[in-house]
Formats: sequence, structure tokens, C-alpha cells
Amino acid sequence: MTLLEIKNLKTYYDTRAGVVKAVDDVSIKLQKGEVIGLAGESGCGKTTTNLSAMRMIQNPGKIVGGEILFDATSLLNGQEIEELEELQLNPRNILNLKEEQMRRIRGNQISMIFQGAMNALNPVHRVGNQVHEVLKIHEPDHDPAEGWERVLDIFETVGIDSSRARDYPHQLSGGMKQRALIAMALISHPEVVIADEPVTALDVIVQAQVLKATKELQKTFNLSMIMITHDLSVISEICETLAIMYAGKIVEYGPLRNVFKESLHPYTKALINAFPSIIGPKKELEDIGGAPPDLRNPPTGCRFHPRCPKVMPICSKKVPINTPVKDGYVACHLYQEDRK
Amino acid sequence: MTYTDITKKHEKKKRFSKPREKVNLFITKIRATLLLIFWEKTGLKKAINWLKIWFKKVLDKIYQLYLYLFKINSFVFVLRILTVLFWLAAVSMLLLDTITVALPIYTDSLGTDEVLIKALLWVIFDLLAAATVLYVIVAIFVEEERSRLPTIAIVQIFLILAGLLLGLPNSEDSVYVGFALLFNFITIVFAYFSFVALDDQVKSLTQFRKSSKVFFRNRMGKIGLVILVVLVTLAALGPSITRYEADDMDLANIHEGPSDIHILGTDKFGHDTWTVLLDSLGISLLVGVVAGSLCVLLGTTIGVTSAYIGGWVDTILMRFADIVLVMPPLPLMFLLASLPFLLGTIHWSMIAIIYVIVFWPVSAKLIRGQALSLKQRTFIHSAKASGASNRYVIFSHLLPNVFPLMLTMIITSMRQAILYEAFLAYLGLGDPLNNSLGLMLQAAQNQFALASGYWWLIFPPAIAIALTTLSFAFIGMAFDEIVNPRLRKR
Repeated sequence: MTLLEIKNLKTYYDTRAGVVKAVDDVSIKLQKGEVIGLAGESGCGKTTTNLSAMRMIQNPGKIVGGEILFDATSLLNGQEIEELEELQLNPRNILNLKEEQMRRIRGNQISMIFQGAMNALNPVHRVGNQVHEVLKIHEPDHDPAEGWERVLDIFETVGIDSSRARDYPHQLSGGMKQRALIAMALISHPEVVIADEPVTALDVIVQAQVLKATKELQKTFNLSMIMITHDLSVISEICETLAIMYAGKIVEYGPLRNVFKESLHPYTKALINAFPSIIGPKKELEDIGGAPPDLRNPPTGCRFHPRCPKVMPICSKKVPINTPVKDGYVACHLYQEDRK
Repeated sequence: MTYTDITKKHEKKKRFSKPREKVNLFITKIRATLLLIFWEKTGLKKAINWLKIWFKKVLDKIYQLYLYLFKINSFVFVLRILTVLFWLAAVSMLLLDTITVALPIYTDSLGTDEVLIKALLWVIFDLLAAATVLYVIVAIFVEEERSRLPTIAIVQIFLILAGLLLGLPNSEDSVYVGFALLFNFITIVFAYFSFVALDDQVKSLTQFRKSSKVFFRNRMGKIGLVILVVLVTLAALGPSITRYEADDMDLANIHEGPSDIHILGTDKFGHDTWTVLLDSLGISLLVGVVAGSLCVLLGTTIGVTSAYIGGWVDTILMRFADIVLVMPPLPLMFLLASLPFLLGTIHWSMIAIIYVIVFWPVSAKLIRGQALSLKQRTFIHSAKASGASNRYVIFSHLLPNVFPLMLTMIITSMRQAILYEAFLAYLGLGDPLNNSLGLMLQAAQNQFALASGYWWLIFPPAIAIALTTLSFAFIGMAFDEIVNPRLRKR
């Protein structure tokens, strides 16, 4: 069952220096219980994609095209659905909803795990209260004592001693803060969880612990997750499906194993070659030459062509279309020609 | 320690440059002699040291006792029973007051209609205050309600005070009300410690203790607080510690210096300087507190709005702030302060408003900067991602983080407001009907105090202004240290 579908999403930042096409024609399908990893260099549009999915793009950003399909009709009352249908708008497309209606979805059905090490928790409130406030927002009539019990429960579930719920963020370690943020995202039992680089600022051991906890939680609650990271090892740990993004476009999409072992797109190959493997044979790490393109005027044709080792004349002229391969697709001229 | 020892010690400390060696040595010797005579020989040093140690010991003992007692549940239990007893005592006092004093006036129809209405109001408020005792009974059985006990006690006090103010036919009869008030205060303290502090807020209490420790470790903060407390007490006690009224004229003693009859002398009209000083101190502090806090509150509102909404709202508000900011503050204040005179007269609240108008951009800009940086922090996004509305984000995430800065700015602003009020009053732009420190200086100036050597007209207000601003500055610095841990000395 498809839970969340991002269809041809286009999110542009209208800056004074020009329009930055941060996300250009991206499509993702998230099934129930699936974990999709979204990997790519810094600034390739991973976070923008997911902020778009929550409709949290700030000025000067704007979603200029595409659809985000998510069934949130249970949170709308009949009148609101009728109103949308009268305007011939799809109530399942959350881009059609009003801001106030969108607020009911955020944190309730789609929630987000932020990177916790730095500033993701408010220094002046107790951690438990910050988790509790999600309940207060979405269930205004709930009994505070019962809500607090739920907070303590979720703290135990994510692996923090419930006695720490009364602590302030600065009294917790980095790993605990991250766990608290996970607790915050999970307390209202959302259907979709978007994790934005959840373990980036943690050291490797804590990273492993938090990832393990996340994976267990994902399995127990049967969560559907989108995991954003630039660390392929994190993705290989937790995801089933992998999407590689480059310059605002998804270049390769498929089951984790296929993308890793039989990667097709030159960028994916380069990316995988650029990080060491513990199990495999020792090899020289290769870097990808050049720098990420300026998204105000991206290269014509395939956006990777200036850095591509296998560049062909057609690459700079024509935008490659998504060519289906085993359970996924790849956007590269190399394989389009093969098919023809 | 002998005389030579001290001399040697001071010699070791400093190495003198040759030409000044003799002079310095001479100064050192004099200092050493003086120290020996006044500090060590008289035993003053010993006595003060001993007092210090003793004081610390006593404080330690009290603190340990406090820690010990609060671990014992039976003590808490006794305290709770005492709380309830005191409360009951307060309420019975109120009932007594109602039955024996207020009701007879009403039932016996003594006095005019006005007196009767007052008495009726008195009865109503007394009974309302007494009715709050019902809440105590609820709170004893329902645990969640206990934390509100002190609040309810404060409400009760306000009710009693309202009763007192609204209807007080003859004040000698209201001894009971006085007792009720006293018992109520005791109840608040007991209720706080026995019901609230122990249950839930032990942590916040320690937080408070930590902050106050930082505050009191700072010597300037201590000095500032002491000065301020003294000044406020003087201003509050005002009429009761002088023999005169502020506008009394002792025409027999004009331009008298300090004497038995007039502690700080009199001016041209025979006004007692001490009385006038106490009177104006209150007004000056009032203007300072009101103008200072209003200014920062307005600045915070505008700053946070502008930072949070951004876009054209931000542009308009900040350009407007810039316009006010680039105008020189003093001429602008003169201009604004002269406007109310067109209407007739100027009241001290108008001075406060003028201060707010001229100085809000300063705090607005600072708060805006802080809010802009906070707005980009992840926890704001995180709150939004949990579905929080803008109002919720502002009130529960943005403002608590701006608050420390606000607090320091309020104190700084109060100091500035007192100075500016004095300044305007000195130039004759103050409220001529109410005394103020600046007005006192202006009066001194008009009476050629400087030329005639009437120092008792100049020094008291000048020193009072200096002390008030100094105390606020010191307190502000100490607050800075609480708010900004990097400033703390270790």
C-alpha cells in the first residue's frame, strides 16, 4: 500500500541572484513499513525534498509543481473535504490543504526527526515537556497525567531512562538528545517519519546504538521512513530502498542491494567508490572530480555530465529520462541506448 | 605583626623606580602606620574577621538544619498542619472583623449612605476572602491542586486589601484585618514550603538557589541590591519617617542648614529637604520602573514580531525604528515633553511614555537580532514540524529564550529612564506638581544654591540620583553574569 507519494515535485528558491532549482522533478513512492534512504552530496536537495513533503519550505522557497499524495482525510471533517472537492482539488494531495489543516498532519501523521546534537531541543524547557507538547498540540483534551505517562513510556521505548524526562537538554548526552528527538517524533504514532540526518553529529558507537534503536522501533511500530543522509554506511544499516540524488534530481532508485552491488549510474558508482568497505578487498579510494553544480544555472542535459567519467556527446544536450531497471530506475544515457 | 614587618611586606610587594623611591617609601610608611593604628591596634580587624567567620558558621548551620528538617516527613506534616491552622486563624479573624465591626455598621444603619455602601463592600470582600478557605479543604485532598495554594493565599490577601481600601469607616476597628493579613503571609510561606517546594519544584528551587548564588557572589550585585532596597524602603516609608509633609512650609526657617529640626535643612520656601527628597525618590523610582519595563516590553513585542514575521512587516517596523534611532534622543525628548504643556500640564506617566517613544528602537533592534538567530535554530523547526502554530512557537519557544536578554535590558533601561526623567525635570519639562529628583535640582538652581553655598539643596538629590542609577547598574551587571555564564569568574 502506497502511503506517501511524491510526484514530480519541483521546489525552487527564488533568490535575488536567480532561481535555484533545488528540487527538480523528483518522485518517491513510500510503501507501508518501507524505509527509503535518500543519499547525496550536500546541497543536492535531500532536505528540501522532505521539507516540501511536510510543506515546511520557508521563504524564498516555493513548491512550484508536482503533487504530494498522502491520505490525511481522516483528520479533515466532511465540510472541509466537500470544500476541496467543490474547487475540484484532490483532498489527498496535501499541497491543496490550508496551513491550519496542514498543522494537524505535522507531528501527528507525518513527523520529522531532526539532527539532535546541536539545537534541536529548546534549552529552556525540560525534555519530557518538549515531548509532551506534541501531545498537547494534537490532543488538546487529553488528561495531562495520562499524557505524562505516555511520555515516560516512549522514553523507555527509545532507550532513555524515564527519570531523565525531567532533565534539561544540556544535562543529556548527544545520543540521549537524539533519542529524545526520536521520542518526540514517535509519541503521536505517526504513519510516516522523515529522519533528517539523524545520526550525523554523533560518534560512531552512539551512531550504531541510535540506528539500532531506530531500526527496532521501525519494526515494532511498522513505520514508514524516509532517511536523509550523506553517509552511505548509515543507509546500508537501516534502509531497504535507496535513492541517490544529484543536483536536485534522483539519478538512481532501487532496492538497497541492487544499487550497492550493481550500481549503474556513474555517480552512484563514484559515490560508492569514495567510501571504504570493511569487508571487501582494500582499494584506493577515488574522489569525484570537480564540484557540485551551481543550481541557479545547472548544466544542460544530464546535470552530472561535467564530472562524469563516461561522458558522451548526447549527455550535454538531452536530459536523460528514467529508464526502468530491476525494481527501480536509473537516469543515464548509457542505459537508454542499450535499451534502444 | 609589628610596624617594621608591615613596612617590609609592602616594600617587597613593590619595586620603586628610583626618582620616586623616597616619596613612595614615605607614603608606604604612613599607610603602614595608619593601618597599624586604626586597623590592627584597635582590634577592628580581628573583630570583623571574627564576625565574618561567625556569620558564615551560623548561615551554614541554618542551611544544614533546613536540609535535615526537610528530609523528615513528619516535619513536613507538622508544617502542613500549621499551614492549615494559620489559614483557619486568618479566616476566623476575617469573620470576627465582619461580625463585630463591619456588619453592625450596616445593620444599625449608622452614618450616611456612603458609609453604609462602604461597609457592605467591606463585608462582601471579607466573606469572599474567607470563602477561599474552602479551597484549602479541596487542596488537602486533591494532590494536583496543591501547587496552587500559595497563589490562592495571595488572591486572598488582595481580597482583604480590596476590602480594606473600599470600605474602611474607621481604621482603629480593623485590628482583626491586620492579624488576618499577618496570618495570611505566614500561611503563604508555610504553604509554599510544605506543599509546593517539596512535591514538584525542588529542582526549580535549586535552580533559583544557583542563580542567587551567582548573584550574591558578585560583590557589585550585592552592593547594588542593598542600595536599592534601602532606597525603596526609604521611599516607601516616606511620610512616616519625617515630621513634615512634602508641601509644608516652615517660614520661620528659610534657607536653614541641617539642624535638629530639619535634618537636611530647608529651601527658600521652608520646605524640609529630607521630606521632599523622600517624596521625590518614590516618583523617580516609579518613573524608572514603569518607563524602563514598558520600553523593553514594547521593544520586545516589536522586535519579536518583526523577526518572526519577516518580509515587509520587518522592513517597515525596522525602518521606522531606524527613523527614531537616528534622531538625537535629547532634542526629541524636549520636543515631545513640551507637547503636553499645550494641553495644560504634564504628569509623570507622560514622561514615562515619552521615554518609551524615544527608546523603544534600541531594545527592539537588540531583541530582533536575538530572535532572528533563534528563529533559525532547529528547535523552532522541530516545534513547527510537530504541528505547532506560530502563536505557540512564539510564546513557548521564542520568548522564554529571549527572556534573559529582556531582563538585563529592563534593568539597564530603568537606570536610563531615571536619569532622563531627572534630566527633563531639571530643564523644567517635568511634572511641576509632583516632586522629583530633577525638580529638586532645578529648584536648587533657581535659588542660586551653588552661588550661595546652600549645599544641602544640591547634594541630597544629586547623591540620590547617583545612588539609584548606580544600584541599577550594579544589579544589571550581576544579572549579566547569571544570564551569560562566560562572564562568571571562577
